[in-house]
Amino acid sequence: MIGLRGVRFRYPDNPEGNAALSGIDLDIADGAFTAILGAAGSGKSTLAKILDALLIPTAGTVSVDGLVIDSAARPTGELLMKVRSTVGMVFQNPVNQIIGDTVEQDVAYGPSNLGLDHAEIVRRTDAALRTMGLGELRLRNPAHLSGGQMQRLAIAGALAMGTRHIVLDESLSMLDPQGRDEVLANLRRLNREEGLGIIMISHDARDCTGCDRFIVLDKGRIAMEGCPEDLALKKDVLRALGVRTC
Amino acid sequence: MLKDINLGRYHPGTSFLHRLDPRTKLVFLPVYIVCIFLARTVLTGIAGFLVLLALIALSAVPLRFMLRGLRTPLVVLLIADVLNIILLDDGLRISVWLTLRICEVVLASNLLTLTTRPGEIAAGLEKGLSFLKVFRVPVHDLATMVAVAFRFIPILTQEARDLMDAQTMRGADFRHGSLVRRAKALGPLSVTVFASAFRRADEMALAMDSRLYGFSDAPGNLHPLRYGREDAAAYICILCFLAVMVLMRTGGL
Repeated sequence: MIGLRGVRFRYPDNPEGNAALSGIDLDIADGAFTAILGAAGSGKSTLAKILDALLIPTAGTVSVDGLVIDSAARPTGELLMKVRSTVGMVFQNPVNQIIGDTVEQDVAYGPSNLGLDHAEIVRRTDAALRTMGLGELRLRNPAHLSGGQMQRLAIAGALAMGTRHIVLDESLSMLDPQGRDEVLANLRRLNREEGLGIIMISHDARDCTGCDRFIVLDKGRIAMEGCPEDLALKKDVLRALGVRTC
Repeated sequence: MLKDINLGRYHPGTSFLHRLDPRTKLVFLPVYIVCIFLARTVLTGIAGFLVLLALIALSAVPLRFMLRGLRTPLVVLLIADVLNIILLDDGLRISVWLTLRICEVVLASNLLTLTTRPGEIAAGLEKGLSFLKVFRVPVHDLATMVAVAFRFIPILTQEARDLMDAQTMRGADFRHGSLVRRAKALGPLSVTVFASAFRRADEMALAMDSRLYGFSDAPGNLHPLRYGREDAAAYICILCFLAVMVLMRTGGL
């Protein structure tokens, strides 16, 4: 369960400007497929980084499976490690998040940083590769993969860390339709079969097909919430909030 | 010219050099460089060159591919050679030695990166220099920097090529005109490539943070490094080569 209470965030290099997030209250249930929509600059990516503890809120608290990050106290390294192991993140540009020389080494990067023993690193890497259907590509140079395969690789890297929730920050926006469908199909399967919580961040409502609910951010605030049926019914409102619809 | 840069490129294979532990290759490179700078006579110069040719053969990397990596440094070397010949009394001899040695250094360095993945180089550096951790030297961070730098070379090279193509489409000319004119045309290009490099580095740093970079004092490895018999043989060869070159030098050969 992820819970945000009164979360505010202001970038240190913009002390006088608008806050990136201005009081977000949000609960995301375990195993839910949640879409967070909004136009560029609405605070989506800031929220994604806060969920993965890459940014610490200026005010408010974030709770991830009982691990609480409070803006009032500097989080310990152990707390950050636990939060980032629980919430995995997949970024927009697949090329810039590849760290390993081969597919298997990229997947093993997270478990290696957890300081696990060799047998456990191998076990987790094998399991994640199998889950994401990348077993046959394990010795391939990641740079030679398609966009869809790269994003599957990024998801496998997060799974190998033992994540229970995965945040995808505009992760489908640079993919061709085939790659997009490939990644979405895998995410739905993981959500349905493994109970993995999916938090899909996008400016495009088409990325949210099959979600349990959606939230629209505007100027750092939650402007709208709804169920999947509303995506079709409230197209005009969504468009006005800068969300692309079909 | 950008496609001629071999540094940071890995040529997949299973050759003897590919199979060697990265630490062995990392030890060999500086030893080889010392050896070729010990050479003072034609005989020792040829010896150093023959060792390099043997290594290229052992690497199974096509010679054409290796030689392509010499094009860019040769342009710089030719300029230096012309200046040496004009300005120095013994300019021709110095130019020949300089060209030969720099080409050998470039080829040997390329051989290391062409037969060793960046991650293996980083792992080799980290393990080989692990004794420096006693002095609080951030060996893991340094090794990671090397790996990331090598990983970025082909990405940024490709990006520079794409930008050159895009600017050529809009009338820029990088192939004709004087050296100064071509250098001027590259100016705006380099600014864009640098900006892109910083953006990419920022995104990669976030991805690494997200996957817990730096959280463990003893990060694991999917393929821990282990020396084999081939490494023992290689170390014996390295020592023999060094000993022969030192003896030839002290013997005036």
